[in-house]
Amino acid sequence: MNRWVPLPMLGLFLLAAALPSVLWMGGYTYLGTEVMIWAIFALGYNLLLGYTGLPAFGHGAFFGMAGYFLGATQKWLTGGLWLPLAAGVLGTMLCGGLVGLFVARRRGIYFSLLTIAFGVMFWFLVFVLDAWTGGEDGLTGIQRLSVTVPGAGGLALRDNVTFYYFVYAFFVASTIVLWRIVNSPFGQVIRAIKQSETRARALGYDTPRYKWAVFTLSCGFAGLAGGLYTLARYGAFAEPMSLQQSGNVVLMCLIGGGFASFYGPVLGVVVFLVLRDVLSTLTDHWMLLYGLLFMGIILFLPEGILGLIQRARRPTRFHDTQAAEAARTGDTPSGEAPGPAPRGGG
Amino acid sequence: MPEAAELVTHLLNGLVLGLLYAVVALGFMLILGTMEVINFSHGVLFALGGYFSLSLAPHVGWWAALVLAPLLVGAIGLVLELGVRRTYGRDPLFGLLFTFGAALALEEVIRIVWGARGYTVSAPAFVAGPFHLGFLFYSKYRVLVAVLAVALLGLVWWFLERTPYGAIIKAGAHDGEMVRALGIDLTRMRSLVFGLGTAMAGVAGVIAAPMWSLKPTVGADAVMPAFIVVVIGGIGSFWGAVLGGLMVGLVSGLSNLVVPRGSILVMYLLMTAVLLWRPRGLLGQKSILEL
Amino acid sequence: MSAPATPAPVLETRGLRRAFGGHVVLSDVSLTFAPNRLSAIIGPNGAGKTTCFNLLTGFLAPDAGQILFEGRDITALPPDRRARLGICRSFQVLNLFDDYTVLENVRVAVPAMRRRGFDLWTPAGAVSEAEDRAAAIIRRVGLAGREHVAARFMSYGQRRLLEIGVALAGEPAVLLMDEPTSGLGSRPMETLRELVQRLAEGLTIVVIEHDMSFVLSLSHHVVVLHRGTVIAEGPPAAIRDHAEVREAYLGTLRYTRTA
Repeated sequence: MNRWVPLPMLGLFLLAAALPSVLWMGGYTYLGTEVMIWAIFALGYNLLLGYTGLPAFGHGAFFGMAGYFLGATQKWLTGGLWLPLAAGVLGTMLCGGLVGLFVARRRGIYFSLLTIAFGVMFWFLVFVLDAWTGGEDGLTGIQRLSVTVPGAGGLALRDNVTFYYFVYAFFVASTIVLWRIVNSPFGQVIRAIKQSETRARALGYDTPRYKWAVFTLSCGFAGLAGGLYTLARYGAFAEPMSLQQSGNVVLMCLIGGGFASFYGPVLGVVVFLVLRDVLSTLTDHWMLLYGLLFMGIILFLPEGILGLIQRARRPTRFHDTQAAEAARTGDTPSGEAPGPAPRGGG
Repeated sequence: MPEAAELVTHLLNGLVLGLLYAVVALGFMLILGTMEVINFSHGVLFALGGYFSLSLAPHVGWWAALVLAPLLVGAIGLVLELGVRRTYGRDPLFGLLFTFGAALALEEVIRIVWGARGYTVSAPAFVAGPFHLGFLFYSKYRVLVAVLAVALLGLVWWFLERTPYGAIIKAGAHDGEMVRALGIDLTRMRSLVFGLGTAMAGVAGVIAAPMWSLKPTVGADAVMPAFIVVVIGGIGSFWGAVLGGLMVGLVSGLSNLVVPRGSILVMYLLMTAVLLWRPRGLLGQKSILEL
Repeated sequence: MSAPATPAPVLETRGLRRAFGGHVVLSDVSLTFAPNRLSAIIGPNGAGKTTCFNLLTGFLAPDAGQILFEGRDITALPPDRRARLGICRSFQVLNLFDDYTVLENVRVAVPAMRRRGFDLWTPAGAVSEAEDRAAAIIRRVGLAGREHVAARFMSYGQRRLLEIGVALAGEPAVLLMDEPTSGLGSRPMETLRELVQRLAEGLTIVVIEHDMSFVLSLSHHVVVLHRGTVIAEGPPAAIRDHAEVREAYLGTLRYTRTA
């Protein structure tokens, strides 16, 4: 597998690069931008959910708060573009790191419970601190300033197509970085933690520290995505920080097959956003359909689309191979072993 | 410096609120402790309790509605559990997500049936008006709320501590296999707990309706503090939920006096402080939910 | 069978005590494990053997008593610290990384990989020191050729071998094996027995076992636990004839066809 950009990823990048020429005809360039922004968020989040097995359920708060860090920095501190973006990422990572200190020693349901609690706290904080955040009205008046790229001159980000490629650059960079991470030694450790945290500890890994690191990292990507989202909408609003939006990113990762594949979250984002568009044109009460769909997916397609595809492609004769092997060595096939192996990390 | 009457009023408000939170949180925690499921639909079921009583009360009277509405909510809970049970044994995330989806769907159902506007619900006639408590007047209805909440908590306590089925539920929370080995129908027990827990949310919704007014999103106001209460009080302890509920309610009521907007913040500072001191919550049991 | 001067023990417990609720599982257990010896802990079910391992590896804290490693008091150390010191363990109930291949399972246990745990950039396969060590371990436990098979797809006997391989990969100063032959048929058990025999040369091993032929043929030192206390200790032959041990074990002894 190519170390930097494997073939599927290259295909994805090329597709995304070509998209605006197709999309602009339907006025969908903005949707494409939104897809990439959420993809950055979801890919980073899947590091936590799909790879480490930590079901964080308040991550919308990190996605949302980045916008406030960016907006505040741009409006009152430094102006410009790069510093506010950086402030969005760093501010979010700082908050993530603090929350991480509390949640890193937990897992499973209790982990979820705590992340929900903290997520809701940040949500309320936005309304309490409404002098800074603008409360329900949001922090408006954020600008997409022009970017000067050495050699290419100035790029007016206010143009949606230019902005698309601006976000595209971050999308490509994030995806590549995340791919390196999941294939690195660190990636090996967090995947081990997901399968059996106990065993990982028994092998000498200080698992809470790794969990903290993954949590904070995922908040960094949420911060980047959130900052870009704020630029896209020219304002920071509380709405992405709600529990419901936190649930959305989980659904995105799940529906695409984030447990089974690196690319799952990207597919999930596309499916989700397209579905949302379609459903909302069907009826005013699309939320009902959405909720039912949610429940249906949990019950019937928990491994997501890519997971389903993977399962269908698995060698169908593995049972035969196993049994044949066992017969040869006088052994018992794993399926009949006395005493089931504990579900790792439960 | 707030005068005595104002102080006592806020204190009493906090107490009433705390009792209400305790009821909601207890139902939530029973489900969480017994089945490792974070019931996201708890809030919307709370709302449904209120809405059901709104529709029923004109026909059958307030007291009958107080009994019927939670029964209806509990029935919905039982139906929900049929779906949730398919997630037992799998990654606990799935149970959480299922109830999350249910919450979204049910909230929309509320909008479809009752509309998106808010309803003000008036307190039943026999408790309209204020009590004269010496130097202050206090809402009679809130006193009723407190009495009902205490009665309900007492009822649940008696059920858990003094009946064999309650003992089984407490045991089942920690060792499902043992319970099954004793020949007890785990499936039925779980249904019961889910129905009970959601019915409690329903009752709370009925009695809170005159205080909070009804709108489709009122469930969020009930369930969000429930998360904090459970984290503070700990999982697996009846008194943890009660204590946590009272603390959150009182802190909320009192800080409304001093820093009106900041009461939520104070609630969370409280939670953070408790977590630093007692990571499992004040009275939390070491449960199968963690390491 | 007395050594002229007993070398300092690698692992030692003093007065270990552990209770669950009101039930005392271990009381006043004092053991020493000498270097380069294979010690076996035997006893009927419920005697406290696995609890003993959990205490040694740090997954449980004792109510009283001390645990020493190479003379150092490690009683307060968390499990990951102890593993880094070289206290490695295989589990009775298989605890493998099921989605990982054999290679990935072993590789993540290698200290060379562990030291780079926070390396977010290098491809894991490029850490050649870890790859080489993992390959060597895989050969040593007899799983050569199966490096890229996912653990969940292997037969039970192979999984047991892998379980030991993972523990071995950590470069143990002392290897703790909890019922390594549990559930094995006679052929795989023989393979495992040979493996352990080879490992015992030059490695300190402590084994919990039920299979008496395994214990008698391989161990230098046997400890018998019954209801939380040590009722007998000594070379295998002496233990076999020990009256109390026979009584404790009545009906629970298991003999396989001896080689």
